[in-house]
Amino acid sequence: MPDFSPTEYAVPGFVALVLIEMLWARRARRDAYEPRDTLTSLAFGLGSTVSALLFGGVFVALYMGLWEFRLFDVPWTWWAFALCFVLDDLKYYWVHRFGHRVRWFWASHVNHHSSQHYNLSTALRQTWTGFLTLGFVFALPLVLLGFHPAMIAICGGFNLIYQFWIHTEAIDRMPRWFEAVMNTPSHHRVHHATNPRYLDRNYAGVFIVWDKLFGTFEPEVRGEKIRYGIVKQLGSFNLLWAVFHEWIGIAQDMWRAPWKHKLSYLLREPGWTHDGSRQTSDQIRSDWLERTGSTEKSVSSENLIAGDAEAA
Amino acid sequence: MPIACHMDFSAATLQFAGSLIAILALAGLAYWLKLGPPPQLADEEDARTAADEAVSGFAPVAIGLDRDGRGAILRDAGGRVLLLRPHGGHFAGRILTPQARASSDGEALVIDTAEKRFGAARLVLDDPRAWVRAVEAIQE
Repeated sequence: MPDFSPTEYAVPGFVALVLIEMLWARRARRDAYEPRDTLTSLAFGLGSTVSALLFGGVFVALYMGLWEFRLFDVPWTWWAFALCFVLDDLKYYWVHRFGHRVRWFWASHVNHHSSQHYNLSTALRQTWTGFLTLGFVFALPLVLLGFHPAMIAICGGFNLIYQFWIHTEAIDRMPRWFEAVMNTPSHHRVHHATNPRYLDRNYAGVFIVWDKLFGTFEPEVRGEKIRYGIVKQLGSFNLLWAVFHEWIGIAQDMWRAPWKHKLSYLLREPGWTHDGSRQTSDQIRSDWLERTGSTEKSVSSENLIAGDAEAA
Repeated sequence: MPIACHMDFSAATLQFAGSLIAILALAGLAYWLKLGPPPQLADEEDARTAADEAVSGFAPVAIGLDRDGRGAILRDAGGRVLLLRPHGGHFAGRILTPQARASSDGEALVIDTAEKRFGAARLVLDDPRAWVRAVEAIQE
């Protein structure tokens, strides 16, 4: 089994690009970085590698065990890699979508969104608690099809590397053809925004076409200032609180809720409450649409088929 | 995404130490470059905008703006009171609960949100006692 992790080789490039972006910020946008926010984001990144080291082996063993029951023998060829990369990106779309729409998954993924800044250090703000969710299940079909777990891991690594550079405000728009097919800084700024129109949109990893296909695409609107972060901003740079706050919130909600609602606090969307005391992203958007009279351009996230989202 | 790593413990420890030094250096560089200036609310319109960003649709009928623009307290028609205070380079907001406590200290309003991680804020503004009363009037 090949032992190759593309992300390890990419780390010096990540550091160099963060440096370059900081120099850009110094010249053009001093508010693009904040030292404590940067430290928190990078500490998230470091902790996530420790977490992967401690718990990743369990999933490797699971995948290798399951691979013995594969339907096909997918060869180690260029076309198999290309196919694996595309299918892994489709898998990423759905893992990511669940990461936003199921609070159990969100408790882990919220870590990546809790910065009020959007820069290359935000890209490294990765979760420590991914192993507590069922995200690994989404890769099982690929393993059963016959893609070697190492091939899937390598493709996942390149996927992660691609997503690094799109976490920036330094790049406005890419060429039109590129924006139409690929995930870009513009598309991903939308994903990190808490503006009501942008909530729970653009889940893509590499190919933005998945959002267009599944009705979750929202283009960035020129002139509308983006506010980054989460609906209820943390207001704290405490690293451990930032890592575990949503898990603690789930535990508290489940403890206090009537028995028939307890599980819903784990399995329903973030913001859902049995007494309506908080709002989901759909409710926030709906209220905003009612207040502003805006018409929604793309279909709701409940509609799984294509909507009328405009091309980039 | 978990990244499978296979290395011995000493190599992993060395890599961890090197990474820790690198992230401290990067954060230090951001500080040295004076990135992340403190946020400021220039006027009530700024406070309205920041309030809507903190709680979508929050429409204040009264605004207490800190004289240095370092925060604001706002009340809507329904009696909800929203505190805006700096968090790094941005503002963070909280709708105050009945557990929140407020007191006046001369021209300053001191608000404890009763949320341990969000903490307290001190705003210098006109008529802080009126805002103490507004906070005390908060009900579930």
